[in-house]
Amino acid sequence: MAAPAAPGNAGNGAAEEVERFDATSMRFNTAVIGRIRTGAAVISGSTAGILGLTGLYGFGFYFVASLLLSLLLFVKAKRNVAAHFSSPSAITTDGLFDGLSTYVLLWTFMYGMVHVY
Amino acid sequence: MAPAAIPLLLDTSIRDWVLIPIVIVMFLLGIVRHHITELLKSDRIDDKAAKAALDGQGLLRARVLRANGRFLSPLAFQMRKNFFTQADGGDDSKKGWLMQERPKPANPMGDPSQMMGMLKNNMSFVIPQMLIMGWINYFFSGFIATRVPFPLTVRFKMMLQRGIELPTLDASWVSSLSWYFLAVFGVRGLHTLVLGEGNAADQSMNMQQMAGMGMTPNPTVDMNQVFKAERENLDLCVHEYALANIERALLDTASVSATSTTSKLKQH
Amino acid sequence: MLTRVAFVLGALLLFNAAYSTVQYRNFLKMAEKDQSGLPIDIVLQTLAAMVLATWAIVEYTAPFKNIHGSNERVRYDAVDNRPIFYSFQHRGALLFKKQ
Repeated sequence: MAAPAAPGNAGNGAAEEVERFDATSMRFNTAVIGRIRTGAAVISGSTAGILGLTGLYGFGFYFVASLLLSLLLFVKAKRNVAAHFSSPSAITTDGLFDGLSTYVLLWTFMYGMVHVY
Repeated sequence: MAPAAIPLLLDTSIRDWVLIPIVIVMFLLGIVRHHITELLKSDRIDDKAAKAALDGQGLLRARVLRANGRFLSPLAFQMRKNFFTQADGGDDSKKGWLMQERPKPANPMGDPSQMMGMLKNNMSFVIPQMLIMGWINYFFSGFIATRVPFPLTVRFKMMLQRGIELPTLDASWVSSLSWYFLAVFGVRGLHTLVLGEGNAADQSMNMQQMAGMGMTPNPTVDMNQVFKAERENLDLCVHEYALANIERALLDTASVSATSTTSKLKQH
Repeated sequence: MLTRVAFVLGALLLFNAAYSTVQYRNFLKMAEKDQSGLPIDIVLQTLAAMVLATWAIVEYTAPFKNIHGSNERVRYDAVDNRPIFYSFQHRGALLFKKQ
């Protein structure tokens, strides 16, 4: 047997190294990301509309803007993704397509306002 | 595709009186719907929900016993196991907890009052949607409202350019109905921003709520089956007392002073 | 506070860029010139406004919580909370049963 473990650790032996996450915090973080993505979709959609992007350029711009957003989220997470998310890709992929419909709405709206009328 | 090939001039009053109002109406409709649902929601915890919580909690306890029972002494483990799976004792209250009969779940399709409730719930979402669509079709059809910045195939022309019989017009010029569809999907995100997660503003959220109900077990599942499975698992569980030789193990790992104590004890 | 100001500033810049674009396009229409492309200053202003507003949104929302829970503050009444030890099948139900 190994050296005597600390009393707090006596319960779970060395055999089961299960990573434990705080479910409430995880849900909180996901919700925060979702809200940020929607807000950013409003902004980037308006930008795409003003710039008059059409077709694939517009959809491509969404992903470029998402990339920028991921960078900002990385800074927000204090450059330590592992401390706040269970998977390292969470800040780039979580809710990526949730903002798309809002983006398309704002894109079409601003495009109509600026470039059609 | 040449975007600026045919510069179609649209009247700016279409923008002021069609495009903007539709978005505002869709946005406000979601907010009104959210608040009406909040008003009608009954927050009374009924008997059924309490029973479901009780069942769920008991199952959780049985599972925990199975997982961590090795830290209990054999007697304690046996007592807990008996509590769950004891077969004898004609009286129902003396039977093991997992052996007791649970009432069979009611078939939701068979209960007319429940059916009515679901129907009402659906109606409250479908009717406003239909009204708005009728409103848009009635007032705003027959002219081009805006142009979507992405190309659409000719197949969309029939649906999105209804009332505009221009076969050569590019499909990305659309009437107000498609603007309405864009607004329906787009304002969902805005509602999450304004009303918070899990709001009652749109239909899909509500459907999820009805299906999931969070932590409590699904009411349509027959608890008797779940209990039977858990009972069998508990019966199969072999109790190995993890702490049987804990004193010896402790002494084995103890330092020199402890061994000297034991040697002194042996001398006596 | 700073993030709020930044967001309002970004939104205003965006609105200003939209307005400039409309004016520019009207000018092109008047002059009957080819309508494609935007002046570089409008494009730059729009992109800068987007970056500013996006940054403001990201920083305005609540900071992420640590999911490992080691430095989380536990509320005093939740210290003793052990959900898996809840028991509803105890003697109380029999003791307080209505005769």
